[in-house]
Amino acid sequence: MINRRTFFRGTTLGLGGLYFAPFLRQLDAATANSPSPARVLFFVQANGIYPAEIQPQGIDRTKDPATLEDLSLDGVKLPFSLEPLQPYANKMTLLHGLSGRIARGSHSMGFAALGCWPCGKKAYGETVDAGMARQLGGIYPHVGLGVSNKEMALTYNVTSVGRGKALPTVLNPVLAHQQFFAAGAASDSRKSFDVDTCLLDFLADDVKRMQSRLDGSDRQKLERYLEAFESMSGRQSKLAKMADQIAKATPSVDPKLGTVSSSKTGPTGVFDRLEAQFDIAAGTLIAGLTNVVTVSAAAGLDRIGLSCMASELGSIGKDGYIGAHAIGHGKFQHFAGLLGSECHAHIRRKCMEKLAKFIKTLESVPEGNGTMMDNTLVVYLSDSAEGHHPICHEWPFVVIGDLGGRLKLGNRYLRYPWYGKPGHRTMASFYTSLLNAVGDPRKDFGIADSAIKDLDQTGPLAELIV
Amino acid sequence: MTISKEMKSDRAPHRRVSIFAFWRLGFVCHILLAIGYFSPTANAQTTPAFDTLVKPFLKKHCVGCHGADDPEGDISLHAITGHLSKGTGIKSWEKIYHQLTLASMPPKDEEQPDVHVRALVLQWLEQEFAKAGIQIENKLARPGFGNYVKHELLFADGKASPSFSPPRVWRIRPAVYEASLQQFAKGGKYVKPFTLKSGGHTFRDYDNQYVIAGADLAQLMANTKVAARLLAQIVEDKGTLKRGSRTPEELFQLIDPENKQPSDEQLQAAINWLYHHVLLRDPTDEEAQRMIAFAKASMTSDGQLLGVRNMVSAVLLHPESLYRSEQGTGQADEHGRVILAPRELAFAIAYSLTDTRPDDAMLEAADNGKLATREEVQTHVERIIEDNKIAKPRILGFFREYFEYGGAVDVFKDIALNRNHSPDVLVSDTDQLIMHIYQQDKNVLRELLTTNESFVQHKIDSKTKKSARAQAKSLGAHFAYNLPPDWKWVPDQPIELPGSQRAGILTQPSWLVAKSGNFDNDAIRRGLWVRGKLLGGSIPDIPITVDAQLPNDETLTLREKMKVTTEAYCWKCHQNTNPVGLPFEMFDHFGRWRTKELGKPVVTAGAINNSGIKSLNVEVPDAVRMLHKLADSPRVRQVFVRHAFRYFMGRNETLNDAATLRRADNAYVESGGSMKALIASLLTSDSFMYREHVAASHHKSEN
Repeated sequence: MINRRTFFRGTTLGLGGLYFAPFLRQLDAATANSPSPARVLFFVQANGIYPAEIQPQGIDRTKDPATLEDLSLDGVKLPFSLEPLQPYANKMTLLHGLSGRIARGSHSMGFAALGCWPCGKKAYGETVDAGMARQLGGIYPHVGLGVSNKEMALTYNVTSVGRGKALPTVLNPVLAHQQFFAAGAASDSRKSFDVDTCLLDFLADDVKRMQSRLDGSDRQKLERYLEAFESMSGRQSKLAKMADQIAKATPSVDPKLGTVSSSKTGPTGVFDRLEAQFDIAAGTLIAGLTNVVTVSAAAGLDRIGLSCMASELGSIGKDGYIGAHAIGHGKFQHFAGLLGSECHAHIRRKCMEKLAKFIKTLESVPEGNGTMMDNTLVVYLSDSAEGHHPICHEWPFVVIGDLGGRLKLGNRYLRYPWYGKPGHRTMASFYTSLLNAVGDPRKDFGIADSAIKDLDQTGPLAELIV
Repeated sequence: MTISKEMKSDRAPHRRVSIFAFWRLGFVCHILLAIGYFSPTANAQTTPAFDTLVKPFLKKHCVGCHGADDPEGDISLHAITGHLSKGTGIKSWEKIYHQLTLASMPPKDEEQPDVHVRALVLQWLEQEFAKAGIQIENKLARPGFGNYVKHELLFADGKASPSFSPPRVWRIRPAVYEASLQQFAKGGKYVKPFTLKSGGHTFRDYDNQYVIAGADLAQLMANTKVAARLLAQIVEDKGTLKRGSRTPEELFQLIDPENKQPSDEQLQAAINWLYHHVLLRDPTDEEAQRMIAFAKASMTSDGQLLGVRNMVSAVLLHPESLYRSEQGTGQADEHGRVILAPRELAFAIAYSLTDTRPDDAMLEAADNGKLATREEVQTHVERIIEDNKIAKPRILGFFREYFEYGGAVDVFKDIALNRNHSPDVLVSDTDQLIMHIYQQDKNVLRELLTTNESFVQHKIDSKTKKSARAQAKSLGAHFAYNLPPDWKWVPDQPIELPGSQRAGILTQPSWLVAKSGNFDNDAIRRGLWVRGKLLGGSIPDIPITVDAQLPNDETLTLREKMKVTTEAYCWKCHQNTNPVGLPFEMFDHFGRWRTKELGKPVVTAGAINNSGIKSLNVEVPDAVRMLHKLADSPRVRQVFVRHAFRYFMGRNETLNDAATLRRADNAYVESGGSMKALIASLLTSDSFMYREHVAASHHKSEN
């Protein structure tokens, strides 16, 4: 019998096909007569994606372009911060020039980055990941994972299903692991994570009793608590039936990663936790627990970015604490021998290494005539647009995959005309394209930017339509 | 717009609207009674119709700008119909509702509608939304929107009708959750399943801000398992099996391997223990019977140990242990109110002042019927306030959230500009100044706004309990207070700083840094604070179309850069921030008093304006003199009382709370400016102790 650790190590070494074989046959059978599966991973990193930092070598970044630039990435070398994604350049689309000014705020736009509304409105409506989750379904329609330098197990930062209905981001990989894979654990340890259905029913009954004495908004508050028990209970029986499938896709996670170090002198472990969260993201997709995962790194309305020790970024030479806020402002100051802007690029590169591992894992799982990655879309963005204090005239995206051929993406450098110029488009149009691609026929998304009301802000990005 | 699941149930529509409508109705009735419009029982007969009231209202006040031709903001209301319940024009009606609720429209320079007519239109709208099954948010209840309730109406002359709050359930604060878990299952490694939203310029723990939903439950469940394992644990010690160090005898009896079949009595004893320690009460007979049946079934299916842990979990996750409930009990009085049950009062008092559950004295009083009157509540409130052994983080918490100086640690400053900047020390100094003023308890607000005393690099050593110098390694933190380089630290603090340079918390370096940018002062945010927190004004969010950037010209002073905000369009809002924010230019962005800026004499003039009080509207030469002027103002004092109300009640005030606010203000004035008296007044007020009677609200909404 293959234990989980061996199994997952195997997948990351590209041996997944072997171990996955029985399960993958099921996937084949399931997909033979139906449209190809569609999955999406959003990766939202705080502190801005500086456009220049992701500009491929050999493609000039013109100032305030007036026309659409649509170029191939053939033979193009990716810049330092994106280098780990070089093997996937043929699947990559660098999407530049989309604005998101409606969301504008300071440091981080939180929910608005995926929602396209003024960021102060917080969980104002349905974010694009939640919209895609609604369309794609799953036992867990949406999985939210993340990392933070703060000692929190859970946060509500980037995803919402409706006004005031934020979805959680689990920040503790050990807990996330228990939450999503307990049903696949060996029987003894499973028992200790499994919640007795009778207990859930008993508690649901308790809540109903209290609820019956309440009125109006108070009833609704408890309704959410009740729903939590009911959905956990309903989910549990479904999960039990998938136990083998889950067991096979369960990654190993170091129990020590549950602890956050807030010291400014020792390793923060933030990148190890990020890697674990990407492993868990891959596991939930492979197990068929969900089709939409959002991984966020230090994102959220009052957050700033990832802080770490220089030693955690690789062989820089010197060590020292690199504070996200400090490098956002002190671009030309030195931190551990690096300029602030260099630290920024190093942190991105480290994140991209983890993302690349996720892609590699999905590529190692055959599906249909190809791999799982063929039917998966990775959307990488910042919740702070183009900078630490962004203007949001441009909100860069790095996209990998084409969602099973549903979108004309891959091997492309697309840059839209500058903010306010004819042909300029907003990120809302990109999100409309994504939602259209998974069967939501909407014509627009979020709230339009009234400062450019003379420009058409409806419909998907024509360039992406298949 | 959200249509709640609940609205789809057969009895839901009335239930959904009841509190809401009554809440508004209270507001409406209050005004209408005040002007003799109608009696509270006559609302069904006088409910206005669209054609007779709403349409003429729109025609008179709205359609002029929002008509057919080139309507303002692309909102056209000339053809809107009253068929909301059929789903027509809902979006426009929502906008109208919010504008009228906040009295943001018609614009201030246009003729304003009668206050009672506006209220009747709102009442009509709420009824129509309810008929359409739409849950509409009352923005006045949102954190940050409290000042929209007109001050003049809250503090009008004459008698206000008795206050009350709506009944409510309120998720407990994270600190309370963590403390109680450690209290009955100490030593477990617990995660933090929920947090408080970051407050910004509002208070953080409002009753309408938090629910426990799906993912929280997963985290709660993880903690519950840790606690249940500790509370029902068998350990091996030298070959014998013993109970774990946190496992009570009552629970050990059930898991003792010798005891193959626990008796009902043993189960009952264990359940009693759990209820006493987790919910702080006896189980009812029915609860005990349900729990016994559950425990037996669970032990049968999962074995004794897991079965007992399930039982423990059931109590730990009981909604009562995670939500505080304030429903009231007994017969409604003549004002349609019920008083909180003694235990509800005990929890409400404890959670208002501390992060722990009620102490034994209060629980005992509650159970012996000695926490049922205002006097009895007052006894315990004063006892807790006066007892220095009881930790009351909520007191400093109020001042921290009110003044917002804690934000100083989040403002990045380039170390090359000032190597002595130590924001955490500055914040700690202000904490101590505040608690010093609180302990003196005389003219507290005045002292907070005018004192030239300050703590400097001062802390109380946790071991010796004596004064000590904070952050001894960075000796230069005192530069922030303009103390000379050779200043010798003294343990006897606070020390006096020049009265011409410092006046209270707003001149503490911590506050000035918290309200500064990375490289300069932030006169706008300082002005916003003064406008909102002292003058009770409201400033809308920056319009989406405004590219709010000051020129990036290093040869200009901040005041010169801010000239761009004096354009007519910007000035509509900036007239409320700049004049009260720019006097703080007497300090630099590290909080140091200065006389020059860019080599020229710094200009520190400003003005108190648009205060609504003629005598308060004066030009001021600098921040110190502005603060002294503000500290003399009864309006400023009342606005402070309103903020204290919000923090300690966990919600915004409404016109229903006028009596409570006036009583609190009187208590403060009559006690010579005692913060303790102010808090005690709030926690013995009708708003704190009384809840709207639910049956009464049903009756009214169904009429």
